[in-house]
Amino acid sequence: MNNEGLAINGIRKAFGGFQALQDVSVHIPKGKFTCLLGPSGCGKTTLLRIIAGLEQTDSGTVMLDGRNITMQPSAKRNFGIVFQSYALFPNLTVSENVGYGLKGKQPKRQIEERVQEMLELVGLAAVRDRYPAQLSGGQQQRVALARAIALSPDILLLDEPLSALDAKVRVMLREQLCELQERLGITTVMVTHDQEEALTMADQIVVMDHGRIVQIGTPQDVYDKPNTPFVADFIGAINFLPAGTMKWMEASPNDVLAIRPEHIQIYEKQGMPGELNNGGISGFVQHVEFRGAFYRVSLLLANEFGSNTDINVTVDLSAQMANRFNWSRNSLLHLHLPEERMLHYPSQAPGAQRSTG
Amino acid sequence: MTVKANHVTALQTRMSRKKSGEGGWLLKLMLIALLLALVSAIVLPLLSMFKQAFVDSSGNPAGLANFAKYFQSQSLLQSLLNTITVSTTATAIAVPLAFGLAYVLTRTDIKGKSLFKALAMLPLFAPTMMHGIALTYLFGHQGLISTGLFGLLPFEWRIPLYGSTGIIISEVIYTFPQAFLILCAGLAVSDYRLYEAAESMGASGWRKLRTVTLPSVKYALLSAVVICFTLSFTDFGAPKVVGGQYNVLATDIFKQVVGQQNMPMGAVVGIVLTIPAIIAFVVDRMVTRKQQAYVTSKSVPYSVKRNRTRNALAYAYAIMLSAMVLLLMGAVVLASVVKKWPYDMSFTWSNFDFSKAAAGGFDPFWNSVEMAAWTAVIGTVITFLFAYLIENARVYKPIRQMAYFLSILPLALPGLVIGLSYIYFFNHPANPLHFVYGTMIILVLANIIHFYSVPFMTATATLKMMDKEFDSVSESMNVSKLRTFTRITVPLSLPAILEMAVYYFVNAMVTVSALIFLYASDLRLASVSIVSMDDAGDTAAAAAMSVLVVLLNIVVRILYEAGTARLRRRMSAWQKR
Repeated sequence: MNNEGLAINGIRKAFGGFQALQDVSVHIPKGKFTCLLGPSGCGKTTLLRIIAGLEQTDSGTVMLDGRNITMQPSAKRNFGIVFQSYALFPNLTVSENVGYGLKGKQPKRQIEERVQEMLELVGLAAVRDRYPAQLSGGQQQRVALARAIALSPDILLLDEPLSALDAKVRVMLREQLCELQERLGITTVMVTHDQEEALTMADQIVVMDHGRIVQIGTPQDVYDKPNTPFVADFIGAINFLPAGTMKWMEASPNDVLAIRPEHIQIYEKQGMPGELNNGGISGFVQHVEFRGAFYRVSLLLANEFGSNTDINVTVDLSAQMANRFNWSRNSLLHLHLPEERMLHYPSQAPGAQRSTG
Repeated sequence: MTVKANHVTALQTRMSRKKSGEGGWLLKLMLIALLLALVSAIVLPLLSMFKQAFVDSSGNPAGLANFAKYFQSQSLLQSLLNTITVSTTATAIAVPLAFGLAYVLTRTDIKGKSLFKALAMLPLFAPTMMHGIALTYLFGHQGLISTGLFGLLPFEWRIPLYGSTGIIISEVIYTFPQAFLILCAGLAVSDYRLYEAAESMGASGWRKLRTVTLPSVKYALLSAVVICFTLSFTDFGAPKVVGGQYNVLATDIFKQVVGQQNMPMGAVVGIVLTIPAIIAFVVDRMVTRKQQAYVTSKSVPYSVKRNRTRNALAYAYAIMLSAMVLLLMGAVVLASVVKKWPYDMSFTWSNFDFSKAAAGGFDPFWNSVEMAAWTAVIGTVITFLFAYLIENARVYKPIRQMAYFLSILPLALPGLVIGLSYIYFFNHPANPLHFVYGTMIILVLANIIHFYSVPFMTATATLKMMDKEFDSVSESMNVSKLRTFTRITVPLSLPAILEMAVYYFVNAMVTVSALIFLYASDLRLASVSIVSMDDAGDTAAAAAMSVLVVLLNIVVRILYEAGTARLRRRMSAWQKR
């Protein structure tokens, strides 16, 4: 294993009686974009603040390129941070904000050049003399980013940097942020609770829950092979099916099976209701939701006697496909659940007993 | 493995201790100094006063003998009863009166609101003696109103001014602006959606007032009641001027200490005077803690509908109150520029020549100005720094909590008690700070402590509004705390800082209670000279001095408004969305 990047080992942190982080270890590869993803209260921001040196860990180590920086104060670490609130100084102009950390450390001319360079990098040279309050949310966000990278930090830390923005602006900034990160090749750690953000931006996703790391992997890994029902549920949409509803190779009746809505195929009346083998089951249409590019259909599974159960399944299908079917309520449709797409969680797996949703 | 892990943890703990020891030693030192300063300026003087109450006049331990004597003394008990009567009545009048005006100014669309507001706050700029003096010129034996405009009117209107009536009216004038400000703030925040909901369900105006308006301002109302009661309970100026033979606790202390040199009994009365203030303080604290979350970020501001009848009534009410304030102030101004009220009403400046009066010249005025200026400058710097340390230092939580408590405690301390405890504490020969006794330093110190809590809370509120990540940003960029403080924190707090300074200045100019015990004969003050000139029967000169104080305060206030207007223009760029 190489020493490059950030190595986080055995971090624990408690606030009073609340254990915010328990034994967290992760390697953040150099030059890559890593997302800490999890629901609110999972400890991701605490972990980021420990990496930043703004919070002291109770135990464990933080190593940067093989150096132990656990006890180094934030000021000595040379990390750039973008806060959720941006924390732009309202009484300083855009250029003064960007140059804030440089002042007194470099000659004046050099600072000016650097500030100009940064502002051009984020496309804000035109508003350099405005105050933060006179900028849009997206512009403020970019000022915060420019300020954070002005000191050429070893690591860039982003705490939910896009969460305060409109959906449209957010998508645009996502791209810009990724492009910038790639161009600068700066090791980046971003905290987010937005799975879509993590999937689209990250090279590596670290999924966290209840102060622990649940899964580390590429976006494709995490989406296609979620470790636990929690990850499966948190990232993307998923159907949970008690194994008892279907015959499944090695599954015991208490296990949980899961499949993503877009992997289920729908056929009109193929086979008989109650025919459950070969990944085939039937369901009664309950509700059809138009989502623009696709339709999301929810059905209640039929039991072997042809009447409906209380197990809900959602299926995504393209608008083109959807037009072939008759969507009247309670019409019976046949579903095919491809074996290779089926996720299987043994009942003793943590979180396996969560309710379907 | 476990052994090693334990070893690593222990090592890290040691290292982390070392780290915080390196980085924060200055901060810790400052916090300790801060706490020591508060303890020696508040707690120790109070303790020495407390101790006095338990010794006899020659300094031997007396147990509860002094208290026993107090509660056996018919006249002292009568004073206690008088004080309660007067402050209850004054509160019962001032709060509804102030509520009316606050309601009129926040919930109607009449014009000239800022003028009405300015006039309502005018009494704040005057020493409380001035209200008493105004009343004597209006309702006294030769008063403008009691004689029916010196006989020009066919009737006279005489009220028994000297005694409880005079004190009650003075306290109403004194406490009215305070209650008004609190209730204005309370009424200004409201959720209009509740009114719309009530209206859609067909609630009458009266029902809306009862079910929406009053519940939303109940904490402000309670605060106003507490403040009015405490202020009139502990006021010294008005009873001194119009109290006559009607004794209250505040004048009792003065008589015991200055008149009879009975220090132990003065301390006992001081403690009795402080008890209701402490109770009020605790009640207010407990209640304001519950206050949050009535108005949420989703609340809709009150929108005023057109209503001519209501506006006519509102105008009538606001004009009536403003006229009364103007009448009071006008009477004093008039008295200060006439030769011999009521016999020779010709114009003269001679009342402003204080060399013949008890003030003995202009010195007291300039002394007061100097004292108020020092109080404003030093007080503001110290208060802001203390608030910053208590709010922003992340170390020594218990110390910061204790310091916070001590910082709001002076709210409950009557000025007389501060003055009295400062005598006991600083006049003690063994005190190394004894040298400040009788100097400007002790006057400024007493003022700062007396008025410390309100500016402290202003500063704390401002600091709390700042993004708590500002410090983190600076830290991550290796920028010193000092630079963040001077470059970010102070500029952003400038309006609050100026407000604190003006508050200190105005209050230091008008206060008499703490200072009456502390001024030296070669360092007399304007407010004290008003009392002594009035005592000596030189009421016109007392009126003249009062006018000077009010004028200066108004000028300072106008300068402040002009200054902050410019500042606000500059800062609007920081706030515009």
